Amino acid sequence: MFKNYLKAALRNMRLHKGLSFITIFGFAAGLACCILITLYAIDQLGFDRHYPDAGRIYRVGISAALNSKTFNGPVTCAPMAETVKREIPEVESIARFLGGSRGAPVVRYKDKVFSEERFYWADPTFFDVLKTPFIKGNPRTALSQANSVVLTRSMAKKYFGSENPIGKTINTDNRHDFQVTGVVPDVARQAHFHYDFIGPLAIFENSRSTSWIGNNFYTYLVLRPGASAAAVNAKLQEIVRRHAAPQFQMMFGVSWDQLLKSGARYNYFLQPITDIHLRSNFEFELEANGDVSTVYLFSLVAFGVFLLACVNFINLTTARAATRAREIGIRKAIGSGRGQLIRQFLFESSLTSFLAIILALALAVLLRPFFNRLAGVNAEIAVQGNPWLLPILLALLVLSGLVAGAYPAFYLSSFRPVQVLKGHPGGIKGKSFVRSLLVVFQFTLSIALIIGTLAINRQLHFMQNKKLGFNKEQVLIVKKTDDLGKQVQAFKQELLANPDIMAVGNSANLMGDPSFGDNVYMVPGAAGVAQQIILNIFCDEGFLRTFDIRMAAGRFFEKERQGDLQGVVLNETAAKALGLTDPVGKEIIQMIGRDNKPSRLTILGVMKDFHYQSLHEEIRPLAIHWFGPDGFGKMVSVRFRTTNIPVLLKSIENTWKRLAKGQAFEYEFFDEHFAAIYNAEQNTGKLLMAFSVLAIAIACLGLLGLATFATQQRTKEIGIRKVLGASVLNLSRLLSNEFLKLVLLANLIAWPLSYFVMNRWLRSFAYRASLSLELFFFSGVLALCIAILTVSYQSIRAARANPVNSLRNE
Amino acid sequence: MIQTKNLKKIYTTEEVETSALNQINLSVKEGEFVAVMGPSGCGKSTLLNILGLLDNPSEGEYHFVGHEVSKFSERQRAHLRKANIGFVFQSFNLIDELTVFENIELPLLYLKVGSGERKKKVLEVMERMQLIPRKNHFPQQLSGGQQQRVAVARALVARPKLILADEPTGNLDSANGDEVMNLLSQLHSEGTTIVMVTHSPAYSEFAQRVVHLFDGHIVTENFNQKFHV
Repeated sequence: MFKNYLKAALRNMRLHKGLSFITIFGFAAGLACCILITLYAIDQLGFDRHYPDAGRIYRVGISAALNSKTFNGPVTCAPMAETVKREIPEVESIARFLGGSRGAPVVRYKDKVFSEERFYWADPTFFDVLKTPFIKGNPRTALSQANSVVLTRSMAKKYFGSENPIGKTINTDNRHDFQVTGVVPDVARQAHFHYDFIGPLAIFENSRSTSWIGNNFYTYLVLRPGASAAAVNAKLQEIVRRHAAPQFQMMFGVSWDQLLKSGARYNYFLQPITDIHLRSNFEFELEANGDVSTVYLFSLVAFGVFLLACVNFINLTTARAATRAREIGIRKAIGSGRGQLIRQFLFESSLTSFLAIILALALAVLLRPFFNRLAGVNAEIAVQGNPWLLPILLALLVLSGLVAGAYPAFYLSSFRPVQVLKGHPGGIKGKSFVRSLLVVFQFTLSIALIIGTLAINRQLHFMQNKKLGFNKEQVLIVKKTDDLGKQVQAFKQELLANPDIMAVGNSANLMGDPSFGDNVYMVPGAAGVAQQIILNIFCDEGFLRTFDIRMAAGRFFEKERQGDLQGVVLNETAAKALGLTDPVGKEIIQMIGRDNKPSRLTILGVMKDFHYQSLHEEIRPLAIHWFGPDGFGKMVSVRFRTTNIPVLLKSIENTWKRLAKGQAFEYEFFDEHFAAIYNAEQNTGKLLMAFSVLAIAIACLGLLGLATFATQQRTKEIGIRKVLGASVLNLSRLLSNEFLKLVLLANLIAWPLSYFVMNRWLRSFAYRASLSLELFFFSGVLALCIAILTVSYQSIRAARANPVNSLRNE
Repeated sequence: MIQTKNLKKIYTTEEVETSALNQINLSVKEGEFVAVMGPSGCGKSTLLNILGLLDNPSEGEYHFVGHEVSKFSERQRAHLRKANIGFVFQSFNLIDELTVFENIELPLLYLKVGSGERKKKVLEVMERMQLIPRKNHFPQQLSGGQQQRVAVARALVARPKLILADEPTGNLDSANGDEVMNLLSQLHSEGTTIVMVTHSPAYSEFAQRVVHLFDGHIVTENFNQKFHV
């Protein structure tokens, strides 16, 4: 019997080549999209699971509200780790660390000098918590000495080449010497943070602080098997009451209970390490994390596209009923039961899904590089050798065979032989309601996707064109200038001699960097919690002019004034946050100053606020520090006024080559660097665009198929109308109208739906473009035009046919 | 074999009720060849569909091979149909996607006949209909007469007790029409019961009895003289 089904199915496909292609290809496109996104979701959900006992590893974070200020972050105070280890028996081991992009020491080994952003400083227990197999050295003792350092395989290669790194000495910031005691593999891609070096935390004096106020340390712990995180969370609150409360009491002069009653809150909490990548988005994250809502959004869209593809399949198959009806009638008259017909059609749909899945797999392999680029840096989809691929394919096969095949199977098998053999496909008219519904669904989804794409692009456009408070155009960044060492000064001087260069600024970080270092500041003698965590930029005196930033009061750093090293420049928000009304000339205390001790700084000036972070964020407090005459930073920004970029680049490169002794010349245009902070949005936009095109294409394929059948079914009617005098225009309008009404209806549903979704998305931006009506209108008209083009091709063709042909046919 | 009692068929659309058959009392004995004649729209095909268990009557009784089937469900009718009735249509109704062999084989597949026996039976009937050279052709590659021969072969292959033919010669020229009629009459002489709808007085001569329908009623029943010696 199956052989018979197979033959009928294959021959039927061959007979309707075009339509079979539309059906299979449309289905395959949808499935390919599903395969890719499912693999992407699996990749994203698999972060940090490579650590042994990943299920027992947690990060300690804080959620606090004091004096109507809230502070949430993945950080803790210094004494917390030791206290927790002592007082909570459920904790097997615990470790603190600092570092990463907040610091970036300059590491030297012989003639090799690099600034290392992924240098972390950790407790000796670090590798008890984040267990890693050591390539060289012993994990138990590797960090036990105050001068030991562990590095990754690629760092070992970078600094020591083929030499054995163990026992070699590296230097950081010309201050500390460290001996290499261990080499570990590079941190897996699917990790929420990546280190290159782990040095001893003990070199920081504040690591021994007993203050429970001020949270600077990342603290990770492993619970004993079977221990409950909820129980530990409760115990953390007791620890706060025992240890932190007395200190707050002293600070505020009121009892802890009174503070709590007045709405204060100070809670430490555990965060599973496996949740960090997708579900944690605090300030001070170690690296930019993924976002579970993006994963959900993509999955939702993938599911939508899958449904769309199924709907197409259903529509095309049931529409083809008109041509299959006779076959069904005959089979029934000859003796086929309904069950046998259902089986036959389910078999056919499974066959189609099977072919579609093979095609989809090929498409997925082809589209993978493109998708990987869109999905962003920390996502990667492996198709070859992915253990999930086969289960996904099988699930899709079964699901699509059933979802897409069931309705046609039941529908087609219900035809009554008497009617269909007479040439009236039983009840096709009546059930076209379902098909209409499906078309409406397809176009609703397509229109919603178009609106989403347009809204995202509009927001991107808005962000790229908003006045930022500084000038991001015509600036070139020369990177890795710390390789020049003190030659930076000479480099700057030579650049300034070029008449095409207007200003030069050297800095350790720049607007648009993914994260900024920070420090704790307070106004001396101020009552209450006047401590503020304020982000930092380190730069030279040329920085202000290079970026055209305006001063609101006072002055910027000046080269000749050595004393400016004890000065600081704030932005307006920082001055306000510190509660200073006339800040210029006042003193503030920087809690971790040079030499890791508190130091007093004079406020030299206040800059006008500028958007140094993405427009997701309100402008936050910022403190600018000066390098001084001997300091230097990672990049030199060059403001130029020429349009002849190649000549400019050549000239800068020549200067670089003379001074840099073989280091490669690397540069970037600042506007591109700054645009990179919206990479995620840009990728979402591009991906949504791709989905919209796909959705529209699938919907149109479906519409084309339906229009074909609708006109086939009405050939006789068309013939009669034509004989009676209808024009081609009359007829094509008659045929198109039915579908256009559906697209209009889809608009009505899609508009409020996408308004709701996009409004929510936009709310994540502190500064945002509006969702204007014309956006919706445009999307609707676009969908309508595409639909008209699709349908009219068929209807015009049908309307122009010679009526004699259709009427003779009886 | 067939006995109907006050059979009625009413078609209801949104506004009108049309009575297609009215008070039909008809009996067909096993081995009989009955022709049904009448003008267009008199209810011939409706009657044939009910007799063939493709449709249920609105009122009245229908006894087929000992079962009262007028209230049978579709599933029950399908079951009875596939074992007992073969159809020949005016427009042949072959499945375009299947070859001659596969078309003829189909009723046996639905009866779950084993593949060896199936092949034997199909080849037997094909040989008889001189269709062997056309075994692997598709319906479109055949002339009308050949297609109808395939349809007859398909109707016969499961050895049904009853063959229902709805204007089997309607789409054929006279030579091919004669050929099909000869085939049917040969089947009849071998004992198959046949009910045939036809417009052609000449072909109705092949039947033992001619039933005339007019506006849903049986108006006359004539017995052919040559069968009543």
